[in-house]
Amino acid sequence: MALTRADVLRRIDAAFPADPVVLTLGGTAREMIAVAGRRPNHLVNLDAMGQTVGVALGLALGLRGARGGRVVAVEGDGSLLMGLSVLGTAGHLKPDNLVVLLLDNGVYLATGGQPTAAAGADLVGMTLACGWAAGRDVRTEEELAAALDWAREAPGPLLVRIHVGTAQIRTDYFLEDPAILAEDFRRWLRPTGGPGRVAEGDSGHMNGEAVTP
Amino acid sequence: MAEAPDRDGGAARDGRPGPAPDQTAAWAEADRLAAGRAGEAGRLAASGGSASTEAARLAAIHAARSEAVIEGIEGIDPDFVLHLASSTLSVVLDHFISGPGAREGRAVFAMPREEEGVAITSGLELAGRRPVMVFQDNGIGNLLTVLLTFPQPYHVPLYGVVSRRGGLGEYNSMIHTFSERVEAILDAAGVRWFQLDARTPLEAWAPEIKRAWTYSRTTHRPVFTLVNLMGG
Repeated sequence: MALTRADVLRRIDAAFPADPVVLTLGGTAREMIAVAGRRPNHLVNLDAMGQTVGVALGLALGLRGARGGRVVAVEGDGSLLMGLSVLGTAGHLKPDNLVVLLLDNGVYLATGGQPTAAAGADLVGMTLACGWAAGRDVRTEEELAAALDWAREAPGPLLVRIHVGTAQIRTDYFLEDPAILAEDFRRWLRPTGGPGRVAEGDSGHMNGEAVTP
Repeated sequence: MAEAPDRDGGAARDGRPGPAPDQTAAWAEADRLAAGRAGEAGRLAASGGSASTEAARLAAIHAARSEAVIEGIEGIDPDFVLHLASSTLSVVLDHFISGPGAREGRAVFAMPREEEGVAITSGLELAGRRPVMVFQDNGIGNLLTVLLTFPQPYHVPLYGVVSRRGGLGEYNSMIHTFSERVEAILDAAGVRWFQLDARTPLEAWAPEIKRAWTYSRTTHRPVFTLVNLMGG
């Protein structure tokens, strides 16, 4: 029996309760809100399709050394394929705190289920070829549990490709003002050790650590 | 000296410094040579000088303006510099990739596409970092969707230095089809931009770049500075 997206999202929320999580758009974000509620550590990408991993990569680079833990991107196969070049960039920069959890249902579900080009693509193999630290394919509950435990500890960047079915749960539209989403997320990041905002005239490097690609 | 473009009144006119007494000879020469598109065209027509002389003039302009852009970006003191491939920006990029701008505590890396650069820069901004994007204006089309669906509506400040192509001195027969329309495209998209070219004294370029970066923080949105390094 195929994993369902809603169940996987519930497990992801439980596995990363205190780490920044960037959620891809459409049903993924709505189902996460349905099963877990609005979480302060969740940043919902409402419409920038193809760029969820890029935003998470920027967060991972920016927070590396400033706070512990992981930066998690919850991405879909269709969206990843829209911005596939990020695999090369992340493989080059190698942020060890980046985890990408790819929910692969093989279709653009939010727009009616048109098939993506992911079915025949070895996406884990692609990330490894691009220089990522490791990746896994997941198809069962047991594999999912093991992979989430692994993703909390293993040096990144990591990709976990989670094969899910196309079942959806009923959700409302999520219509929050994006400025509020970003500000809520920033306010959550600040007290947890993030570098914080930089005011004009500051020297800039708030935490003083070396940042190298 | 010609005034800056009207639409950029805030950046180019407020507090503009007068000519610096220590202005370098190269800058003075570049300013004189690049005093305006019409003047430049007239000189070209009237001079009858050799092609190599004109090439040397344009090279001097390019070098001086590139140094001004470097000074402006260094004034921001970015901890991340994200760049796209650009021959026009080669001097600027060399400074950050392998020159004095490649220093400890600063990450400098290439973006394969402008939209990916916007996404990563947005993440860096949310993390409280100080990134700057450097790219060419014919890539503006690549980034509009992500710019208008992420940093602009999410009120994430984001700053980019964008080199101009397609004007006088252009050597590519095609690139003007996009680059000459960049101002109109950005206006139609509601993206704030400022422009530095022959109409702005060279000594004002670096402070204007810093001010545009500050303006992106003040107004919580993406801001670009378009810089003409080609003589116009």
